[in-house]
Amino acid sequence: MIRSIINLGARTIGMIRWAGEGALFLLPSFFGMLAVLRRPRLIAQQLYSVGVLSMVIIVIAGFFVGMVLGLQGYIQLSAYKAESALGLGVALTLSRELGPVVTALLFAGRAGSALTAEIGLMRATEQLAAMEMMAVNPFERVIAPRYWAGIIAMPLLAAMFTLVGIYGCWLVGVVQFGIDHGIFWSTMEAGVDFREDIFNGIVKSVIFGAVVTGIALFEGYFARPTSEGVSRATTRTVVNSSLSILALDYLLTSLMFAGPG
Amino acid sequence: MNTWPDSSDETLITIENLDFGFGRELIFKDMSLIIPRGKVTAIMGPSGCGKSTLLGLVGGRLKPKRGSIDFEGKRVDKARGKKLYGLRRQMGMLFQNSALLTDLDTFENIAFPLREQTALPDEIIEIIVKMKLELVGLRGASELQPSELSGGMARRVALARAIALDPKLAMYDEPFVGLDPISKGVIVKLIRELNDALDLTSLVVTHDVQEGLSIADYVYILGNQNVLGQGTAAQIQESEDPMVQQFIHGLPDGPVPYQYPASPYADDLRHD
Repeated sequence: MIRSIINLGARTIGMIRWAGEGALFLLPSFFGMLAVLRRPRLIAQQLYSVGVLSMVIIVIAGFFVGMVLGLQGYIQLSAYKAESALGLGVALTLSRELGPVVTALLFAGRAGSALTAEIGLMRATEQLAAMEMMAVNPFERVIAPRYWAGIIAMPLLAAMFTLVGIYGCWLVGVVQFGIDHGIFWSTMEAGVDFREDIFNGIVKSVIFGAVVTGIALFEGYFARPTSEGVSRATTRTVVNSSLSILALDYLLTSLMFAGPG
Repeated sequence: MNTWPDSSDETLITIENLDFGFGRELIFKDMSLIIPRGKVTAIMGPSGCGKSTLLGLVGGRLKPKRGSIDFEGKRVDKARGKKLYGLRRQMGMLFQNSALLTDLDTFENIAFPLREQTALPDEIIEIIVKMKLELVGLRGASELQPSELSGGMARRVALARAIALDPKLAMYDEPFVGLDPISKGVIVKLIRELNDALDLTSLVVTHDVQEGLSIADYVYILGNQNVLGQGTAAQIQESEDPMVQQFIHGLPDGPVPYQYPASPYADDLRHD
């Protein structure tokens, strides 16, 4: 009985501490993000490591996901002689859902884990403390540029994923199974709406970018300064951001596509 | 000979009635000390006595529970934000594990404070960095990455970075730890020479008795939440305080017990 009360108390304190740490992290990060806009070079450097270096995995994954969608879609649609809708179906799936979601999951594994490990080790090796002693605000110099880079890179990577996915589907549908080239593209052109499908997809990926990068930086900043602490923080980044992406995706989809009217 | 400063204009840092601790345990209790300007002051004491914590307090990274820390007449313990950063610009710090920024090469590590804190053009920054590198004898290593430097070299690069902005105070956190005798000798020589040539005030935290006593104009020995002994190296060696004697002679047992507190040994071995 007493033990369960102790556990409840410990959990409550843990949650309050977590919320407090979150506030301590978010507030200076926000001001840092405003300040770093004066130094776009710092953001550009991080865009390279967060964005450009993630491109290979995103492009390859997008290509295969598109091919699998094309193959499965063709098998199902051809049973109803509706294979001409393949391009449209895959384009909608990718731009609304799979583009932002799968890109964000891959981004969490590739860039998020790297960010957590980097910040965690910077803290463990006193690099952040050294910056503070050099009168340099680590939130402005280290956290904020990485945050911006994550938010900017995610929609670009998701767009790339979608685009390559559509080409993967085209390869299977048009080249392999002989769907008419013109019909494949024209149904897509007629059926995909910019505001409804593409814009909503971009909004999703911006939000996912902010969430994944935020979790990664937060976990890195508060990681215990030991090798075990950094390794646990990296794991938490991937697990927490993946679950957040999937839960948020349902929420966003219901707000965007299932709203009244 | 006592080099104790006797007028206030010779003092750079004044710490008065300081209480500090993590949680409820106090590390310092009602501690007062002063750091004389232009001198090398060594802060020595056994592990865990709060030597590095003292540097955190002087640098304003830690806040005392009570008491004051005064740097050139300005309260470090009260300073926040821009005011605190303004004070830190006058302090350089060498961290125990060098804390070089791993994504920058040697040159850029030393240029870092200059680029962040000044609006100097690249050509001037390059000249200053080369001068600092020459001071620590590593001008030829400017393109090496931190991972390519030996422990001693990394310490020297960090030293060059600590003095990049020509601070008034240079703080060294365990500068001799983990170095071979040659590298140790180099660092000892550099701390002394830089202090005298650049008109610095140096605060060296160390538990290396030999190096600490050889380098310092003035020595504080910390322990038991306060200052155990102070004076010149000679005065410290003549001190009659048993804890000071145990520390400087490296005796395994004494006022600082060899045994970690435990239940009686015989009780612990008995199986009832």
